[in-house]
Amino acid sequence: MERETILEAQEVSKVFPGVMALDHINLQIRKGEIHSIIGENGAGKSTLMKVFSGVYPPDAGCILVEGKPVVFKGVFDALKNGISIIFQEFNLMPELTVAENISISDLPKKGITIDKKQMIKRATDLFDSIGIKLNPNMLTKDLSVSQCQLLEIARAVGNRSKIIIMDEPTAALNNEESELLFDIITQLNQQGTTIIYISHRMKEVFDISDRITVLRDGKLVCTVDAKDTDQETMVKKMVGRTIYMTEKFHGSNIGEVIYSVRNASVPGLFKDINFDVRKGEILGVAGLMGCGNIELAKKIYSLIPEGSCEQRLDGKTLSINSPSDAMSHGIAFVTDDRKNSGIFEKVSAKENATISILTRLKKLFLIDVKQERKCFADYVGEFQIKCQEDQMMVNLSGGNQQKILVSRALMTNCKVLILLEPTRGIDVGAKYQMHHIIHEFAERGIAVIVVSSDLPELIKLSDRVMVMCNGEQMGFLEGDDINENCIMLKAAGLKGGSV
Amino acid sequence: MTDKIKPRSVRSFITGKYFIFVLLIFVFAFFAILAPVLCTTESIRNILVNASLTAISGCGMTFAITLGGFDLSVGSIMALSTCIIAKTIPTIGIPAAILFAFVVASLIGVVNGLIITKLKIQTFVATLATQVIIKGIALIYTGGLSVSVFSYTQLKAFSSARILGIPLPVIIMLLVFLASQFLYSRCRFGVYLRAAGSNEKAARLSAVPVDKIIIWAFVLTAATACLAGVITVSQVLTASASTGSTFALSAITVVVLGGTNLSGGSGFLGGTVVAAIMISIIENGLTLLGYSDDIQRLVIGAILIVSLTIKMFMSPLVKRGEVAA
Amino acid sequence: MNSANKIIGKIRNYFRNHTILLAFLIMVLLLFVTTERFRSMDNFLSILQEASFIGIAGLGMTFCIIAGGLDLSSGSMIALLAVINMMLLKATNSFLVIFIVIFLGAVLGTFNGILVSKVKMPAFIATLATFYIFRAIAYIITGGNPVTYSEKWFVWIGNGKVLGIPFSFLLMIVLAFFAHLILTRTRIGRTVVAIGNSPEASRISGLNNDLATIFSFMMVGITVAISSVVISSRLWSANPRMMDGYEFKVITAVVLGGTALEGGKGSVFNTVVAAIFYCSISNAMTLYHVDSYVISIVTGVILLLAFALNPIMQIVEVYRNRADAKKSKSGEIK
Repeated sequence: MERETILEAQEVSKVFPGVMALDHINLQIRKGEIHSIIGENGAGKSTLMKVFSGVYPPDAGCILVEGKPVVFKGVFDALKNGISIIFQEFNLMPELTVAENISISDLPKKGITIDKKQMIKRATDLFDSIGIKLNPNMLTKDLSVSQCQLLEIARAVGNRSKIIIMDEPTAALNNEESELLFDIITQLNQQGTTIIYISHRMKEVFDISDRITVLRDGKLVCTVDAKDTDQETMVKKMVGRTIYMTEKFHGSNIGEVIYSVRNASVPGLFKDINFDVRKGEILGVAGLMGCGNIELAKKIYSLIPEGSCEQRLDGKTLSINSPSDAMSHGIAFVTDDRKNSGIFEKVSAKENATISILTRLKKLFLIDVKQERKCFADYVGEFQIKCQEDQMMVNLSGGNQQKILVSRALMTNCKVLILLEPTRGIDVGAKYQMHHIIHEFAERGIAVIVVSSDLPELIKLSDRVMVMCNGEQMGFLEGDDINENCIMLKAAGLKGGSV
Repeated sequence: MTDKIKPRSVRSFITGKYFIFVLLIFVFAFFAILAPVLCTTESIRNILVNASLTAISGCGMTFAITLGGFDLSVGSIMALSTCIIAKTIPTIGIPAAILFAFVVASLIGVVNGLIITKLKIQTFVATLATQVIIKGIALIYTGGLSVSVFSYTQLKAFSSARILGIPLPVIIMLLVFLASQFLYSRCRFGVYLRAAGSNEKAARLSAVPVDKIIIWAFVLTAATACLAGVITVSQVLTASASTGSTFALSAITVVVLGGTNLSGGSGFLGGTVVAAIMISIIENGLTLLGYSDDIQRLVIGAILIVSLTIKMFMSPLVKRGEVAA
Repeated sequence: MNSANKIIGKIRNYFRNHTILLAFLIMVLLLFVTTERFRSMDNFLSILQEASFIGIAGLGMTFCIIAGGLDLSSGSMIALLAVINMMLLKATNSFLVIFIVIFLGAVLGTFNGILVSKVKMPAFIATLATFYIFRAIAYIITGGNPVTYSEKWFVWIGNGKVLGIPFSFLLMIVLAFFAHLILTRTRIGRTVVAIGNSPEASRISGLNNDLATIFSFMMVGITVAISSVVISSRLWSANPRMMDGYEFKVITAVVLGGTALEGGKGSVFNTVVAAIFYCSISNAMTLYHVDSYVISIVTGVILLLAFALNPIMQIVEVYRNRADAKKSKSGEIK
């Protein structure tokens, strides 16, 4: 039984200077379905969603809502036509209360003043109807990241839209909260709301979708029923070539223990963590969101002042009070949030890469430009980074930016390399290259610590996996025990699997 | 999991919103001991009247800063208002002159707002430029000379009249404060102001009329500056285009000392008024003790630094931005 | 034919990074053609000299703004340093006074830097406070009176010429050269640029943010000190009321030159050109007997235009940069 089309893109194209973000897209979304859109970064998913939700107009083609062509002059227009969108970057106002954020587009009035009671009631009613627990009087800036995500979802639900677009909604949620989200989605769907869902997490996509659309390089590759296909086929269509997801790296050059951490604790984040890493080994640190693995990595690199930890490198006890201390001892770090704490946007690619080793590049008080260029060129060649040396960092793709950040860390000739979410937000091709780079450098003798929420990645890369749960160390997994099952069991705090 | 709103300890109470109140008490006590004549009713009246100028303009400025911006042109607007009033009284009489000044000031506020919203220039820079332009206009208008209105003694009533013993400027200050507070906490304007000040992009996407709010905020800063100008010209009965060169900075100082956050999104009008009173106490106290204008400015600058330093050292680590919340 | 295209391409690219230079050349051409008195060498040289009074301080301010900060106290700083300079010269007649003044400038700048980096005051507020404090100190130590000193050797600094070119202008060029080297080819200079882009990324990369912040304010202090020597030499005197509104002119020169207020990118060379541009306009207006009050209005309008264009130019630059990359052979960019 074919449902009618509620939202349609006809020959939609969108051009940004130098790039065709959307190329004659023809897509029909059916009423009441859950339709997922997948594709690599840069494939056009977010752009298409922004066109659907009124953030920008298409340069060619048109959008039809319930068969009628519409022109949106802004997000508010789209809202009036029944389309709501939850962005990846939160659109909340931190200094407003939760209730104010919910009602901001339509503040209840009592004469010339605001009806605050009504505002709070609206918020509480909304939360009750979907099962979220948030305090309407709390300031939004005091909420945790996952609470913000839930608030965004509540806002979209509160708009009573016919169509809700969700862009990576589970990125900030833990398992429990993701389940809550899926419950909400099911509930909305039963009430007749159409959901358009964007995600990189294939498992989720297959769990909830009715149909899946694949975008690649701005073009629509195919739209299929979820039950008629499988993950590997979809990935193939996204990338255009076959990538063996089952590849697994094994360290062949693992030596003695070179780096040890003892009694690492930060009140409120994690407690009594102890581990060793050997030369040439890749240690994965797994766990659910909020388990403390990312904070642990930040603590050992001295980005968190509270708490304590003892570190030994090459037998020597280290006293680390700042990132430059850590670097001088041979520990390097690559952030998970490259936009805010990784790249220097307006600086050239070359200078972004060499920023940590400037002291070494000096010749008579000044930086030796020739040496600098050579250093950079070496890494460009080795990592196949596609860019000009004086291009502004902000113009590079996510994958190239990430490669440069890793180059920056590796240029310091570090003995220990800490990577946080090394392939977050980069396309499948670059991901594959990044994994090879990490493995290659481990083989050359570097002790690598990888903290990642991408389980398949962790499984592929790691020689050993340390699992954390709620700030506690749950144990180590080696060899055949490194698999989704064992890791998830430990991460959930349940007994089982090897110690 | 419903979260409770964080409980207040004494320390966070003092270093938080009400820091300026605590500081006011200390400052008053300090000067009262050194110069007991400060405590007479006459002296207190003086202090409050003095404070009213910066307090009134400070209320308008609080709106601008809550929005995340600054209005550096208020000094020039005040000067221009005094000149307009002084020059037009002979032809159209006192009430009309004042009204005319308000109209012009409000128009300037609209222009400021348009420059910021249409030309997309940052507030700091836009008003830095308009400050110079308005001063230039005032100079041309008066030919660089001061204009006197000595003969219009009714004008003096504005600053010297008293109701129930309270000078009129102080009453005006209270009224402006109450009106501003009402606008801020009970009307949509206040919510929109905080929304646009904490995340402009999100506010726009949420259909908050950000551009209109910006224009209104700058109209209010201009209007309050004009009001300060009315009081000034009524006090001294002359007008000059070169007055008010540090007025904008004084207004910003009282807003910041009062506790309004510079990054926008949360304004504290009560703090602004209290800070204005505190600065006035310092100025009057130092004058009574025989210190000149320059020393006064030095002290105010030093207090600004010291109070913010204390606030920083006493606030929890999270606020300092060293740890992610 | 191909090599001609290449040269054109290189010229175009150069002007993209130095738009102010293009604007300046166009303006000079226009004025040259239309205004007779503008054509005199004397006039042009006096413009260069005027430009150095703002331009030298502009060099330091460029550092400060690139780092994401702002120094509102430079007007008060220059007055304070100028009166100290004159008072010390009167007392000792020694050339070493100049070095002491430069050192003091560094101290004042460092004070601002410490307020911003260690006490974590927003730059606007910290320099607002020192704006009050420095000038008040100047009033106090002079009792409000001007201080004069007119020994020949000293007066030459602000008025003298070398091979016909004003010494202060040559000084500015030499200082600009060193400033450029420091900004682009030293670790501290790169750190200044880094913190203007992302202080967090800078910290993670092992750089010392606080040191760079303090350094950028110290550069303002040093260059303002040098300017104070030059200006008090030009005027043969200094008084605590002097250079009111100076910080406005200096900041204008930096932003007019294309350095964005949010920081992260900038060029000292552009600041120098902008200072000359700014002074040329004032000069042109004076030649046209424009009322001085109107001149101040016009300079305000110019500032507005410069700021209105600045964000547009930044965006244009980003897109052009991206497009250039796409055109080049070395692979596709997503």
